[in-house]
Amino acid sequence: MAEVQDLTLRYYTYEGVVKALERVNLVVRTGETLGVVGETGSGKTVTALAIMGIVLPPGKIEEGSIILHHDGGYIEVTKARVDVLQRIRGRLVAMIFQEPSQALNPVYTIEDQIGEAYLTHMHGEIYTKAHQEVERDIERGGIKVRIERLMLRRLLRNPNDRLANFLGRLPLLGAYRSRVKRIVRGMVVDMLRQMDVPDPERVASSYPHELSGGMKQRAVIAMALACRPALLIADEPTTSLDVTIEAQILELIRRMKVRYDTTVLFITHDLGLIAEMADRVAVMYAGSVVEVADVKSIFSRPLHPYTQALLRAIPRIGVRELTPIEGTIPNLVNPPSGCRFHPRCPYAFEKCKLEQPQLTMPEEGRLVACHLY
Amino acid sequence: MSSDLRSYIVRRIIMVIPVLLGVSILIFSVVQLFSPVERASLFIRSEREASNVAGIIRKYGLDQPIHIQYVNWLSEVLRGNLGWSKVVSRPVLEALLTFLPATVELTIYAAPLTIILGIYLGKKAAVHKDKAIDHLTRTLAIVGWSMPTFWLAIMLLAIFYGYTGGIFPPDRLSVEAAVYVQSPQFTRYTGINTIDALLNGQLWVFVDALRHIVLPTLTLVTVQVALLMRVMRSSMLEALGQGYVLAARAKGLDERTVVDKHAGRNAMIPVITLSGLLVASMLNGVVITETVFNYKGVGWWFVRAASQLDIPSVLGFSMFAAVLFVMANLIVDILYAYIDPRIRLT
Amino acid sequence: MLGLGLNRRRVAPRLREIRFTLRRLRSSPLSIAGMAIIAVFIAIAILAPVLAPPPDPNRPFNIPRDGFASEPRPPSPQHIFGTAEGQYDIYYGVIWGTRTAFTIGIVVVGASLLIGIILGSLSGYYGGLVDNILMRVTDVIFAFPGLILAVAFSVALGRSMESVMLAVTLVSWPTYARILRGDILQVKQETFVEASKTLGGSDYWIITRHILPNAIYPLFIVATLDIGSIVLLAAALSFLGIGVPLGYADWGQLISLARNWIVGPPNDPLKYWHTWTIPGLFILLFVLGWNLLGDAFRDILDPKIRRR
Repeated sequence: MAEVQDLTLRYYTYEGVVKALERVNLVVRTGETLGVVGETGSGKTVTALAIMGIVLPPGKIEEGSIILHHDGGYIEVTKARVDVLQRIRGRLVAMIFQEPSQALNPVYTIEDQIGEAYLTHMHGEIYTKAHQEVERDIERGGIKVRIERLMLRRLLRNPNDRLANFLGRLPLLGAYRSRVKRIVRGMVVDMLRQMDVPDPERVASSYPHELSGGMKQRAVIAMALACRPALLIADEPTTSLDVTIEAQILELIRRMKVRYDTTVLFITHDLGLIAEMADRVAVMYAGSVVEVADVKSIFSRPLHPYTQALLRAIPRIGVRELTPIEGTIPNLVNPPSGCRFHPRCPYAFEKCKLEQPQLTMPEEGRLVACHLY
Repeated sequence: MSSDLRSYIVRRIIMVIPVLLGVSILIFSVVQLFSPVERASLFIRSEREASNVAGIIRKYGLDQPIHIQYVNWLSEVLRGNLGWSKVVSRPVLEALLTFLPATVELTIYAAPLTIILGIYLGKKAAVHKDKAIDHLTRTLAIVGWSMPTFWLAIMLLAIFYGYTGGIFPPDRLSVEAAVYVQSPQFTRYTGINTIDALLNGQLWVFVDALRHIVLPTLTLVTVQVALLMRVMRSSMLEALGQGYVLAARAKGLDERTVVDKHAGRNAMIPVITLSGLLVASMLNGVVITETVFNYKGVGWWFVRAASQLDIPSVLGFSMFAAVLFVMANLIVDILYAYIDPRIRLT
Repeated sequence: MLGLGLNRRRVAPRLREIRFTLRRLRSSPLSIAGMAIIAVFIAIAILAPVLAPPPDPNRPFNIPRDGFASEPRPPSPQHIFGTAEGQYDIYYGVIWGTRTAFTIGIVVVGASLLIGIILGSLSGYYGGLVDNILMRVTDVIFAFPGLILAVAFSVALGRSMESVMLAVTLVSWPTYARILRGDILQVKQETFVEASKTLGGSDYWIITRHILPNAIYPLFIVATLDIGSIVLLAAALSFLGIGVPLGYADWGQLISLARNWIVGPPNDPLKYWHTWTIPGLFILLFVLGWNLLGDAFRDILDPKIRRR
């Protein structure tokens, strides 16, 4: 579904050049849920955004490629044109974010914002449906309906038709707008209902600040899944939610994945969630991928020292002491030489300081970037 | 209109009343700084009354305790009696209404220009941050904001009137036009020269009035655009940094929609609050600009009154300015609540 | 924060922030320009007696007049910047006018701060009726456009430099009172104030030792940078003929003397340019210096753009 090869990304800031991603290699297989684990600063969000072709300034992709497969063809994201990227965002790949209140615009209603996704990517179907309705009403209605038909015909040919958009703001000529709005609202309410939102009509008409955290996140998920994307990237979707809501949201994501046959890239720092949601796991540290394996193996037999340390650090019933990982996350302006984990690694030796390890396959189906293997 | 918007509007209107009351108290306190004779001038309504000062003092109880004086004074004010303006020899309220159209005319041209230019430049500067256009507009803005209005007015007058030989003159009209406008052939509909000229079909008067208004308008616009532009730029930058902008991009919206629809609407919020302040800034600017250009509007009258210690005029105009500003802020707040639904809960 | 780890020396966070601020200040061209301009003006103000020796040492702010003719004379060896209407020496006027500007700026900002801090902290800490009254009073003052209210006050107080300063102060203090009140309300919610109360600290003690230091630091910066706009307002008052007496060394006054001489005779319309250009430039540069510094400070202190 998606392949990230040797992706290197740097941020040019006032404090210095931040080497955010260093030769990241990742493969997302169609139909799976790939979990990406890492602490803050490991580069998980940056990688996710890069997959969508969003690189925030002052960032720059130095090397590498990102390939998205779809419908028998593929798109090279790092080299794609802006309009191509805009077409795939929300349609082929969609993303849900950590803070639902951040992802929703406070001055527009839920139906406006979810409807926007529909109007951007599915305008063809919407205008066709509106046109069909108009054709049915054409005998009964008067001039108003005829004008609607005129506008809709223009829009069917070209959704960005300037004349229709401009005149549409006027009272009589803009009649088609309320029809379109009604159709879109129907689609939004349907989608919200599938998200298990109680009273979806009311929620659709609401503003974000009128909704609870869990409700907002459902709206965000609805927005992302509206156009049935093939790949859904979920970046810490439950971190800001209560535990009970978290369970509901995770269940929702699982169900939607099955229903719409979506591939999921699940990003989190919480290993518990990984155990629940992921089929395969990729562990990231300080801007590179250090280990990839199926979820059972990661937990039963972690290979990379960092993964081992992560698992040791989880509080367990019956164990009295907590074992944190020695040291702190490295400064990405001046990262450690060679393997970026070596200052904190209990097994480090000379080579670790000199050369950054590449991902190798010590066994079938597993990848590790460590000189031990 | 949604119910929470309606209740907000009602609440906001109620809040205006104590402020207006406070304004009247403040003005009244300033009045108390003057002697009884001077205070008497606030109650005079005609030339005849002006000669009987002692009678006025007795009639309006100016030697009575303060709270009675306040009530007397306030009831006079609410009846429209703001005193006698000695600089123009007529009642203050009448003077205000006489000079108001000129200032309104100036505002009609200056205000839309300021808003359009300010918003446009601010947006461009934010979207193209750190590029040439950003630096250029920011430099112009900070220089414009540091410049004394009266100095800018003088410079414009010297260069565009003096140096060019009179293309953009001071005053409202040239002598011929002024004479024509007073004559019975010309019907005064609004007191606004440019509009009246068009309504009368006299194009030459229209052009004449327009020529005279160019420099004052330019002065006002420059100083205010400087401020507006900076606010728009910073609020736009803030909006562009928000999560919903990222989410909008992630939805596949084109750049223009992201910038205008999503960031733009949120960026306008501080700007709308600012436009209330711009009313005050415009009033201040008008005072100075009309003085330099000898443009006979309310600002000009105010300064004449101040330099000749015409207290009723000074205080009358101050109150007018305050009431105007309070009303402007009211409208701005309502507009704000219309755009930003979160505010309606306060 | 993209992986900025803790490999700095163990320096107290506030000190580190102040050093960072100073470093940014030094490297920003805006702030350097602003500081340079202000430094020049400070030098002029201090050296005024040297640069323009007063003919009467007891009244240095009276601009010397070379005759009584009304027509201004152009720059010449005796009058470097020429003379204004009434033969007032412009050079003398702008040099000593610098002192006037600083005096007005510092006194007004100082007084406004004092009043604002006292009233604002009382209002913020005690809340309730006290707070309500103060808010109403500031609302009322804010209801008037600044210049207009200042003119009204000046007319009532009479024509002198003191009345100008008083009028501008009366118009300015509410802003600081509001800011401080807001800061105090914010700080009041912090837990260490609760802790101090449980330890039995008295109200006064709590305000001065805990709340004020945190709230005042940014306010001082904002207020100092307002000196530019205060001087601008005072100059406008002088220009309108309200305020300092005739012949007093004040930039606004000098420009008001130029009002009749903006446009010269038809063959030489810019003949009297020196009467309004020179004092105006002084005002512009002075205010510009403060505004540049103010902008630089604001950009540097804003936590969101600080480390971009």
